[in-house]
Amino acid sequence: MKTFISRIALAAFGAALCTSTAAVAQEAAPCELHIWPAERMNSVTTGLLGGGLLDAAIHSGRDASNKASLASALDSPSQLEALESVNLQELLQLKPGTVLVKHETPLERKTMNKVKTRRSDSTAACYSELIVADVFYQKAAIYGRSLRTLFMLREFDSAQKIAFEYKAWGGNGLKLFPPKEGEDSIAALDELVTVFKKNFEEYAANARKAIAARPAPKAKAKG
Amino acid sequence: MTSIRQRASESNRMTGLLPELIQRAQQQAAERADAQADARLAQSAAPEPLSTARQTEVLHALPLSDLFGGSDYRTVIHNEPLESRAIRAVKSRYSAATTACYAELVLVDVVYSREYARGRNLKTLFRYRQFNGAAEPYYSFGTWAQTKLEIFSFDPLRADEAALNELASALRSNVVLFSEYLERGRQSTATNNGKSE
Repeated sequence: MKTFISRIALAAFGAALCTSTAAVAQEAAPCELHIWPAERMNSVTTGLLGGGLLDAAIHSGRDASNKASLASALDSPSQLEALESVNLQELLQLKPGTVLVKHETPLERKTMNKVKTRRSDSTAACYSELIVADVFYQKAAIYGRSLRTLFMLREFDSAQKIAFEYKAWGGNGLKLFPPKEGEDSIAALDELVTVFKKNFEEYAANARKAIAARPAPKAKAKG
Repeated sequence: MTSIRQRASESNRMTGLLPELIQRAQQQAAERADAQADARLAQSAAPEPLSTARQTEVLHALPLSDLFGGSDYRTVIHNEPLESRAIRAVKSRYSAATTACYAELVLVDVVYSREYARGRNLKTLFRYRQFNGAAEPYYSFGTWAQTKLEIFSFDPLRADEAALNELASALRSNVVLFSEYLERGRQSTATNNGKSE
């Protein structure tokens, strides 16, 4: 698995160190946010036939072309770059000094909900994950064209369990995509990246509300 | 100048109001089939049916000067592909050439596509940029071109000599098709500029 930042090794905390020293040192270690791009791109075009076999057959060529465009404009490096270009610290209310660790290889989509442990081998005490699960282009006869993106944020506690999880779609309209066959597509492909960022901002706004509404962690029992 | 990543895409057979469960099962079946086809291709005699080296061969065999800009241009084909992020992010020249009369043609993506009811085809995303002595291009144009495939197949795998030759031929055809789209785009830009003056 490719990562761009070497992980913080906590193995140095030997058993010889007293517990309080280790706790202080772990407090001082920066938080980590690990980011994975989506592997799955999908395109669905429905006409006035309302979907189904005939409608799908009519639009199959267009959907394949759209999917190829999505995979090109929003390949893994582009998704990561787009997420890095927005202010993640502010949008997700990350703790100051949080280190971003980008993974270029997407996670297998089918494991997204099943795996409840950390998706990286990091052992950082302060650790969270941002996963792009799906990128989905939709064109409906009445509602028009839009790009929808499914994001998932998971925060782990020091016991390696999920302390907080928020999964939701962000979606916004498209004006230029898909381009007509044989016409200049550059602006339309760039629009996909712009709307992907907008979708994340929309998701992050809802995530902040969920973070604010989460119950306060229980105070540790004295003893 | 070529840069290629290869992907397979498959369109949905059923869309719209069908239950999400059916779509999910269908997606998973398609993913499984793609994974199996990937594995078979990796173990075959031609694991990279349209490798960067093969693409450069195709480009060398084409009259690129005639297709893109005429005899003013000397063609320089680069053997190393560009990274996708560089293709999108770099606004200046991709090479270190300082020639005033300078243009770039990039093969951004080459995709094998299998479409329900339409069959198989090879899609290529091209990007063309023309510089006029300035740091940034004064004309850019990018679009997909596609050619139908009759022999090469990913699932079931058919990658014998005839199939590989067909892929190379489809890429050639895509380059020619793109040069026609580019010319049409130039004419359309010239017409629009004429109208606005």
